[in-house]
Amino acid sequence: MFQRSALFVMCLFAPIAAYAQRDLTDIPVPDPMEELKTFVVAKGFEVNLFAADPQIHKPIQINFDPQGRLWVAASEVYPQIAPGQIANDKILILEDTDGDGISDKTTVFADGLLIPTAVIPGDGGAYVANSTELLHLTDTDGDGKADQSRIVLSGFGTEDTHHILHTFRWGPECLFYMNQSIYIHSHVETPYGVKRLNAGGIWRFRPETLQLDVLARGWVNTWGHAFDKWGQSFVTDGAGGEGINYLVPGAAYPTAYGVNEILHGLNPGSPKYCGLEIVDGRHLPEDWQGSLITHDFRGHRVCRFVVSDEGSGFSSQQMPDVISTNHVAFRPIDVKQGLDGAIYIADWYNPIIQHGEVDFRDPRRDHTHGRIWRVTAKGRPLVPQVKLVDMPVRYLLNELNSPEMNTRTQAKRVLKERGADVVLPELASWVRHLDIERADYEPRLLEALWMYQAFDTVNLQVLTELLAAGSPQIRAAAVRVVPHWADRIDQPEELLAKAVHDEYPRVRLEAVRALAAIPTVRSAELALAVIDHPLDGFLAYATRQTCREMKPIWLPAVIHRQFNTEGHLARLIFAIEAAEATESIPLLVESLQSGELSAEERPRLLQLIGALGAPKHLRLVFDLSVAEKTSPEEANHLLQALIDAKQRRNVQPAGDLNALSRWFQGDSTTLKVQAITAAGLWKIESLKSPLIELASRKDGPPEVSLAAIQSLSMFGDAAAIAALTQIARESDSEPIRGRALMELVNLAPAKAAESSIRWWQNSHDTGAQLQVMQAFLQKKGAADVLAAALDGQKIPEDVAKIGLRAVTGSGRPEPALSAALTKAGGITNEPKMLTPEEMQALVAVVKEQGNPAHGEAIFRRADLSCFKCHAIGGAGGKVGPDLISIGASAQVDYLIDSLLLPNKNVKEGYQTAVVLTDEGKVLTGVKVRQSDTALIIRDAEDKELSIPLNTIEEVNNGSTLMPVGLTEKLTRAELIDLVRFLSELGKPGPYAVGTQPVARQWVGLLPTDDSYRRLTRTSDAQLMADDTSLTWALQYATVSGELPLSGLPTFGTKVKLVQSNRYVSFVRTFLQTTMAGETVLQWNDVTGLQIWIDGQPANPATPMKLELPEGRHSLSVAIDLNVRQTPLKLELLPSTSGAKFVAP
Amino acid sequence: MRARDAICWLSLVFVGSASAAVFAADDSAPDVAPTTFELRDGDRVVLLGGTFIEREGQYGYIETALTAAYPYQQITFRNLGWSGDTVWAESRGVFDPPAVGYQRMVDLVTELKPTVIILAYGQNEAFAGDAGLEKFRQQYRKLCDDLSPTQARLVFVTPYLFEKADPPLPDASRWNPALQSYAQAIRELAAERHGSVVDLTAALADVTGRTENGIHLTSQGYQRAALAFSDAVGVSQPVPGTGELQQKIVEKNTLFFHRWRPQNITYLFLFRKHEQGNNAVDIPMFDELTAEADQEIAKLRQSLP
Repeated sequence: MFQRSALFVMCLFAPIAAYAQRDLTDIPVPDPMEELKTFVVAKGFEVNLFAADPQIHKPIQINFDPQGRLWVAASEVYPQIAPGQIANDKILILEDTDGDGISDKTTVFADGLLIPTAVIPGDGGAYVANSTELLHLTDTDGDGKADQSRIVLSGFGTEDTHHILHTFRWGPECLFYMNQSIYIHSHVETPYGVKRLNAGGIWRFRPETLQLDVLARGWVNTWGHAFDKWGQSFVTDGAGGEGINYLVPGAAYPTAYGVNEILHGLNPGSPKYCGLEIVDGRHLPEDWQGSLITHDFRGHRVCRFVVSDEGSGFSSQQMPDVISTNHVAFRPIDVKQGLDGAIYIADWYNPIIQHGEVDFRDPRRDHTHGRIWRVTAKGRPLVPQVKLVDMPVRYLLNELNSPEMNTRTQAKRVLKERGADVVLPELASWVRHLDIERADYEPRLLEALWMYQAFDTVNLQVLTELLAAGSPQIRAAAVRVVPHWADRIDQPEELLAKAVHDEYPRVRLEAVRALAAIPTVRSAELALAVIDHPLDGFLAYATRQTCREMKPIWLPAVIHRQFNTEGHLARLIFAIEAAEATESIPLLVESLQSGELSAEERPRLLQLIGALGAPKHLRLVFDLSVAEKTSPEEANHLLQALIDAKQRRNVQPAGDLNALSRWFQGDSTTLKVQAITAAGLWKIESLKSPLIELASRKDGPPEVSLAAIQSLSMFGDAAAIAALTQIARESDSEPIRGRALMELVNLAPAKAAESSIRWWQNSHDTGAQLQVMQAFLQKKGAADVLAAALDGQKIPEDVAKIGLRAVTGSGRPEPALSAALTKAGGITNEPKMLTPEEMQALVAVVKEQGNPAHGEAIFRRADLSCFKCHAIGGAGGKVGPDLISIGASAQVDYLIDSLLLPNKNVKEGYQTAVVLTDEGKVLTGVKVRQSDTALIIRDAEDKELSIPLNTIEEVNNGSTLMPVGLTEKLTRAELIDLVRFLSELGKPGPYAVGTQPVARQWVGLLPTDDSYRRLTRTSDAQLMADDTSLTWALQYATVSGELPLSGLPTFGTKVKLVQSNRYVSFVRTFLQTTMAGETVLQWNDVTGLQIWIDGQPANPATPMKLELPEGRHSLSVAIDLNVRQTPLKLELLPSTSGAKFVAP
Repeated sequence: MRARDAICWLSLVFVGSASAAVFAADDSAPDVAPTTFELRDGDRVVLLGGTFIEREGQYGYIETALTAAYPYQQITFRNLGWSGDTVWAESRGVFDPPAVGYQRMVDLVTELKPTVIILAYGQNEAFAGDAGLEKFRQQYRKLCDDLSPTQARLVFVTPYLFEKADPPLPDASRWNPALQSYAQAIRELAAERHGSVVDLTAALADVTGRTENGIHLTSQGYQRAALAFSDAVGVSQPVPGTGELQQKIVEKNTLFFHRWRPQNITYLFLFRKHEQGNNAVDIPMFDELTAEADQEIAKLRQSLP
């Protein structure tokens, strides 16, 4: 076996080819029939070509008009206009005049456009997204071509041409919806003021009044938005990894800035999805009704999901693919159901996707092709044609009863364009004549309500009736209408008084969001009543969001005692907590002192005071924490609240705090650590000596010494430095020396450097070494101090390598320290670069000889730590991108580059932020989100750090956290296998993450001394629930979902808990249920397994039916390695409890 | 676009040095700012403002009127309008806070070496009503201070009034009292700064039928605004036969737009330039194209009847 470095010639000065997808030399033949042949189509369905180039090219969005014609926004200019190029992109209309399922007429409706990313017909023409503008184009002379263009809105950002205004939709109430992606900053003047949206989100717009607001925000590329038949919104993200998103009005999703809390998608660990349509109607079979169709455009798949109610929200289950193929140019990006019931798919047709990773001008970028595919159910009749456009109003109204949502939506569009004067009288009569006895009475009345909303005409009678509908989904839909009419209804909030107590959680959710838009005290009172009922994740979020938005309404009322909680203090606590309403603390203190609180309310209130209070309020919490009668558990909670107050807000209790020393004694190590931490944070001078004593003790628990060292450093004076220096030199525990050195770096960097170098000569604890190196990198200027101190010194090569790894993790080059470490450690290797020829040769070998199975084993190797940063299908670290479909989107040369030269291509959202704080700390990590008060980053160790905004002096862009020199650990053959494995990820085949929920993240019990002691002494099954002396380490399933037994931590001696021999492994995974109900588990095989659910033994069987209450559940397994060799695979079958696997 | 990436266009076009008149500092501001101004041979005019200025770039009426008013003078225009903008440059932050976008705007204007700056602010700020007036006044002053190193002559455009549009559009004329207050503040500022005023508040006091939606001008509205500019420079008749000239001006503005506000700046100049920053070489090529268009405009204006 030869080393890679022997083969990869270093050529630092050779020109690097600009092409990131070099191996894409096999550009497929652009014959649509050849493409069609490669499609694997869902059982019972077939695909035909509806339209193709040269009639159409590069379709971006498609939408039908009421005549059944398909409008296409198409761009040849994308991704970037060239100097001298005339922007001439087009809007096309495709028509199937003879009904054979194939377009036979193409009209160029408009040209001369600049990258139109969306089109939707309406209002006598079509709305088009044209760079910074929303245009309305009309054909006034009837020649089929637009001759008038009106700017409807302008000021949309263009920071990235696949982010610009997109995804136009008509809502069920004829409102106009449009999306923008994360890099876009929009500033739109309207007669109501300037509307701004910085970053991604969905706009809601009423064209005739120009009312414009943001429905929800966050996401990266919200390239899919669809309504179900009850008006609920679902969203997909073309750069997110959470599958189908259920949209809560006004919510913030991952990537939203300036928020404290975000909502997540329903299928975490998914590939990126583009486009979204909800399909139904007579043409499709029963099990497809209401299905969500979207595209894994990277993996060349058209996917189907089914959502079902889960609490106030939904759960989403992936079904078998609609289309899958290996054809590299098949890029499904939009999908719409036609009025004939068939499903139409816009295939952007391009071997190269987007323009972040691939050169704008790459010659292989396709600018001319494009297809529309049409999917039909074999042997099922199409939906009969209706001519909506010429239909009299009363017949159009009857179409609101159509079984096809699409037909109803188009009928409403036609009615809307006929105008209120013509339609409203007939609508009123239609409503009067609806047959109340019919099963579809309420759905029809809902369509009427939406029609009234379309005309913005209040109909209190219909609204009131539907707010009391029998169907909960219809009640929820009616609730959503209320705020739109609130300005014209007397006491509109009273309409929602029942809804906040509705038995169906989504009605409560809609009510609590609707009330947020009605800014009265009564409205806030009603909204808070929701918390009298159980809150699931979505509902709790919605309620907190309402509390935050309505804070200016309810807080003054609370302070002036004009807020009615109907005796439920819990409501108020909830609101104060959610909105961090510091101003209300005196009131809380009063309630506390009144002594009228219940046993549950009291600790919660105290914590709240700790979280929000001023020094005099914190004093009350402090006094209680050290009171004679206070139990260690309660003291623990209270001290934690006080520590949080200091760390998050820099506020501490008033007065003399010496009484804290009470908890320096006692049995509880946890409490002792808390007290020591607090003593340091508060710098209690009189406790410094006891802290020095605790820090230097050799016989006590290490956590106590570590905490004392940290606290000592808070004092930062000569005495503390002297004590720390002594510990750093003399302690015989490496973690303790390391900790003392870390603290010393901040206080006396030169002293720390000298002591560190001395320690490194004979140290073995690599974790402690890394931490100390990081400390030098995190203190401004300390890295150079260390570099200077290393001059002329020798340190072990391995320590130097750890130092270099820490430099990588810092995201900064630190040339002086890197050179000093390299020299002191005697390291000779340097990063290698490939010539284009070498790259080409390597790419060929990967394709011919690479073994993906070996590659997966290499990926899982501990010394490479791939999983530490990268997940596959949600299982793994979050520092780097999820690699679930990397093979389907990235070419082989890109993968090789990413391994050899991590800084060459950094995925969007994974550049590091280098944060300089006012204390001179330099923190590096990938930005997770930013709230009003803190910036949250994720460091190279996959830890989230929250940095208060008011301590940040500067934020700069750093490089990637992906370590350079990773491949040094690989032979050439191993590198080839690893790349091959990565290149298979997400492609149809064994390395595509399946659709069935499977346990991917496990923890394995480490055979530590403590674990041995516990397991050999007790047979108490409860041990498997929550014994804190056991240490578990993450274990990941393979892409196929199996947990291999080799490599699991193993107990080599007999343990009491298991009736077996030696060689047992313990693993555990976790389930979250959203309601009490049945959960069904399926094991691949139960041989050699003993199973515990929440510490209770369960009979190993498959399928395994469990009745679990709502909440989080541990599922522990002992594996007898003497009788079992097969890997472990655990799947979840559809369950009524909404169970999901969650991270350990 | 980072300001430093914007190179100045003028050296390609102009030979003689800028005839930027340096006004002697005059401590006593006049009570009323003049409502006329003149352009001079060699002037480089920069326009700043919100949607009104941004769309003027696409209509070209005002620029055409001013170009036609001086058929034999070499005057160039660069439109830096940005929808929704305010004196705080609230639309120009891009990935940064507005304050950073503000500085970028000042730097860009400075690099363009203007001799005249046409400022059209106040319309978006007026949505804040009287409560926001004093802050507006202060910030507009600061903007003038920050632009003063250019020594450019300042032309202050007061906001036109809003129209009571037909329902269901809202009645935007409810903002008119606020617009009047802001206009007055601008007139006072113009006097204080020895600038001129183009009083659109007066010239477009009757906006009936001249807005798209109550707040944005139609082409008729822009023609009326252009007339106000013609009046201000002393050419009270709109010049006939400007079709080809106007078209070329709009073309030039489109080229310059691609230069200073190109799409994909994230990749070209900002935090993803390590990926596609090599494509940024295209962007300065628009300078040459813009300069060529300026020359064609020069030919067209000289051949006006």
